[in-house]
Amino acid sequence: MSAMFRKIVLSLLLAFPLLAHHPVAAKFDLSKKRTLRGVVTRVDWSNPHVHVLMRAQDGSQTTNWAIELESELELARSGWNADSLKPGDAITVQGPLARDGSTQLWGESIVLTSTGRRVLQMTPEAIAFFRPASNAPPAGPAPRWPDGAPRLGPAPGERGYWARPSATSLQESGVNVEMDSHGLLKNINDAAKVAPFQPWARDLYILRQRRFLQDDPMFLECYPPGAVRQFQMPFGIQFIEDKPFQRIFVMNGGGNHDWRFIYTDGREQKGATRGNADNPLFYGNAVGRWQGDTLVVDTRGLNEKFWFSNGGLPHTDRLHLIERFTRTDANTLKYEVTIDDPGAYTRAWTAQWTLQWVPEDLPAYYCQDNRA
Amino acid sequence: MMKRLVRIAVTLIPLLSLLVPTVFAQGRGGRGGQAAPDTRPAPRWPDGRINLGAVPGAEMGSWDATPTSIPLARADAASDFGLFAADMSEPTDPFLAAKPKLSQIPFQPWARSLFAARVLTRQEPYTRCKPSSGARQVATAYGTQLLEVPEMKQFFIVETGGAHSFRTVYMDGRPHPAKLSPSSRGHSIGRWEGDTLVVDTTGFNEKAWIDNLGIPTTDRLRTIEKFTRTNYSTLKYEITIEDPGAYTAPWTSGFYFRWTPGESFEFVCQENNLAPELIMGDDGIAVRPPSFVP
Repeated sequence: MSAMFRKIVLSLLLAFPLLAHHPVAAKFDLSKKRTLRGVVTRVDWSNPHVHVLMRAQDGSQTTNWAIELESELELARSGWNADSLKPGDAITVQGPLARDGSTQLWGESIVLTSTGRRVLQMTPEAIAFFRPASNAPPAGPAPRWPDGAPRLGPAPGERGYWARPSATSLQESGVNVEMDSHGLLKNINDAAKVAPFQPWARDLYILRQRRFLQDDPMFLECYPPGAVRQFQMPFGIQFIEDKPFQRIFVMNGGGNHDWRFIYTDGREQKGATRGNADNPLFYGNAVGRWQGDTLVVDTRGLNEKFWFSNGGLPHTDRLHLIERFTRTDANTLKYEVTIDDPGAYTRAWTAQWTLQWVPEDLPAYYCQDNRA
Repeated sequence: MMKRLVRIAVTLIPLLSLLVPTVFAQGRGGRGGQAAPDTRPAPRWPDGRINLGAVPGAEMGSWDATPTSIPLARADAASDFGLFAADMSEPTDPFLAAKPKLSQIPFQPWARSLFAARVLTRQEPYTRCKPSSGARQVATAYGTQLLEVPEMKQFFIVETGGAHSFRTVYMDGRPHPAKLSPSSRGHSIGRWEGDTLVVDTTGFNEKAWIDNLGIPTTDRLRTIEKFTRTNYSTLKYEITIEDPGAYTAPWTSGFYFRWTPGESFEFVCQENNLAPELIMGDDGIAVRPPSFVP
């Protein structure tokens, strides 16, 4: 890769830090940018977003602004901490303005006046950390349990979790529609191609897209990512195979840092976990069994309160999922899902992507962990 | 016996009016573990370690604590906890009797004042689906599972109710990181001391409430929690609070959990929370949530 090309790619990545908790475009108007000069009054160093509060000077007028940045985890990965910027520091900030007209701005760049240095920006290494590695070295075979079954978690003495999904938005296999990592379509006219929608579901999808995904319950109310979507989250998931009890804990690093079960004890699919069918869930009732080296999970009993994918694809409580998990080598988990929802789609359809093994501790991120 | 029933009824009736009754229907934990002692020993894994969870082949279950038993201070007077029903009974169990009364907590003056304010305003983070901390994380509605994964050298404290989240306890002998970014749950490392799991946690933020009353803490807080399964159905939970930012000396408190049979399930606090701005944050909003939350 030529140095110039590399520079262009990196500057594009830096201009659109796509790891943000919510799509930047949901809250900020990317076409309306502004430059602010002033003094830091406070740094709110927390998830889901770090905020720098500042008093901006414009002629004789001073206004208080909130500058929104990526999460603490992402900035820490770039080597920044809560003391990287201090109250009293003079700064120049540039970025898009909030759509609602409030004095909030997405901090594309913050420059410290005293040194002329850019601060609190993600490094290329940090951005790359959260993305699938394209040139990963060849991995060994999947580790196995003494009974021969592949391990979905770490081998003894190792640590790690699954993240870096190769797709962070959903479309039917074989469809090639351009969308960003939040599932925002580049061209809204492509909407109908994404999946075999029923007309109402297509229209709802278009509405959600036209509103830049700002109605996403996961961001608005810190709802769980829910079924399917939990395998597209930047802070990953960890499987804990609780062998003595034939169940698997699936733990989320991000979202609201919650967890769910996949039952592998041979119980039948009843559609809801507590025996009453009017109790639909965010993760549904998931029963799994091994077919060779693939864990096949059948899920029903889902509610309609969450978006099962980035991008706002609709579903109903008739959604039935078949998910297939295959650890194809030590560092790769293949995820295949069949989405069968006669309430929202005209036929069953499939999608698949891979997750990569991250040999570190699962992050502890809480969507709720802001403010009081 | 009659006297005891009347006492229980008098305590519970005003609380029931504040709460979904089913919460209490499942909270069959007895009063702070003062029920008849269980003669069954604590179960062990084949290698001899204490099993803090379910026994393979036997019924599933989790640890429940009676909400009135989980405050880390005992009341000196009925008015101490404001709207919260202070348990004024004098425990016969020496462990519970050793729990400090409010007047014995070595508060620094500001911390005593903040505690008094929290008792009045009752804005417990737990009621707003925030990840709760310390003793409050372990004592969560619908029970807590203690999940040891020896191969990972990790221990998970997994709550069903509340934020439906989990705390990871690293058992691999690592120290706390030199520089920790303060968080609600801090950084936990653990070890076995005989049959007791000892968990050492630092790196808390100051938003965290470590119990349901609002015992104040600062980012200098370090907790030492001790989990001892004294018999099949009883878990003794002891917590030592070292916080030179809020207290003049370390102090220790605790309570009992009871093993409650039943399978854990999906619970989403946010689902029926009709004030999402209290989860997501919205300046200037003040409310008084119900004074008593399981």
